Amino acid sequence: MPEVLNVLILDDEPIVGKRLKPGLAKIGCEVEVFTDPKEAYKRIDEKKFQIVVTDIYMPEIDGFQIMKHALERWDQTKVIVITGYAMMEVARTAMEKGAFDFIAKPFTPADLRAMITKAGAALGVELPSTEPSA
Amino acid sequence: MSIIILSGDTYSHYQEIAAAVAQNLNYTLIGPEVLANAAQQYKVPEKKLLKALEGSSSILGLSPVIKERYLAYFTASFMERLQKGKMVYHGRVGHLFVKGVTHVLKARLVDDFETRVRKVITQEGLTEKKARKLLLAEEKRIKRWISATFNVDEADSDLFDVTITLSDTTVDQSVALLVKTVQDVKFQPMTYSLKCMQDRYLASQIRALFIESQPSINVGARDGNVSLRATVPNKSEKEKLESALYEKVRAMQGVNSVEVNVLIDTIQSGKVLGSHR
Repeated sequence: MPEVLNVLILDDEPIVGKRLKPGLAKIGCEVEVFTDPKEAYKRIDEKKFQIVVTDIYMPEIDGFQIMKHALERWDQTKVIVITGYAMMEVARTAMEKGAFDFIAKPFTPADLRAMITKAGAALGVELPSTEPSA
Repeated sequence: MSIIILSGDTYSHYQEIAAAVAQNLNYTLIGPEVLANAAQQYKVPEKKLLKALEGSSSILGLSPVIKERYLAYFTASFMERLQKGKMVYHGRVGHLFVKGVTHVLKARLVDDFETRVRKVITQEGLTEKKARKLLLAEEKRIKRWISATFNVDEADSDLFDVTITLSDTTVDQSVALLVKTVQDVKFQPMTYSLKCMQDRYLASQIRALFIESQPSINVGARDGNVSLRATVPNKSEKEKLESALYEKVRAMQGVNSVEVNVLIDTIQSGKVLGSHR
């Protein structure tokens, strides 16, 4: 049975998770969506997510703290950072802190699928392509 | 997929370091031949393209419109090469075309002035006095051109990730530092940086395509969404140009949407708006 990728999406804007979940489910990912970073933080303790997608700037707990927690709890987890305030310094900081990938908002569900597929490959999991075949 | 851009002075040996770094990493080495490629690609005389990029202040020099055009051609050709990644480029201003792209390591290699003077004497057969004069004039010209063209102060250390003083290190030490630094995680390509590069590449291609007929054209690109701004002398020209720009750019590879904003330049047209009394 092919391995299922467990993905956690965290963004304090509800529309983000709502928009991204269906596309990832289509390629076989089990997706949990959070808008409250405290809830996401707790959930990461409970369940191993191979991939965590997190916004940076959120109240009370920011994305870098979530990333640190995820990497400390499950060292194989790939963290993808998303932000509406993308700048070179922020991107480099994210990578230095252990992010697998980084993208600026707005981005399309296809962009995220591509990053998830890349992260999956890095974990040794091949995801089905959603691109139309020739 | 990372890129290393080495900025160095004339009559310094930074090209040697660039070659060694490229060999060590198995990267492609590119340098002044980018100019020849651009000249060939856009069918312009190489000497004139060089003149435009050297910031020549000769009274027989090129007009600002021509300089701008040739700079656009060079930018487009240069960005096309950089798209491939895994390369080392050596040249004075390459880093200014990729500001903000995180997977480009931008390094400034500073050579000792006296060492350069000695090199000029040897290479050009000049006296020491003339060699100094030549180097000082060249430095002044380059700094002025960079400031006017890119609106930056070349001495700003924020333009670079690494600065190496060549008189304080050996070639091997410089090479080792650069090879080690580019492998740091913060210089690895990520979706954000690849998109930044792709946006600049697309914008440069479009600008080069239209700059001859539309010297005032401004092009922005983000994720394949292109915005164009140009000026024309009258209303009928506006409608014609809007349509032409939209159709041509929309058909280009990598373009998802096009927004065109053509303004009527009343001063150019000879008409002046009424007073505000």
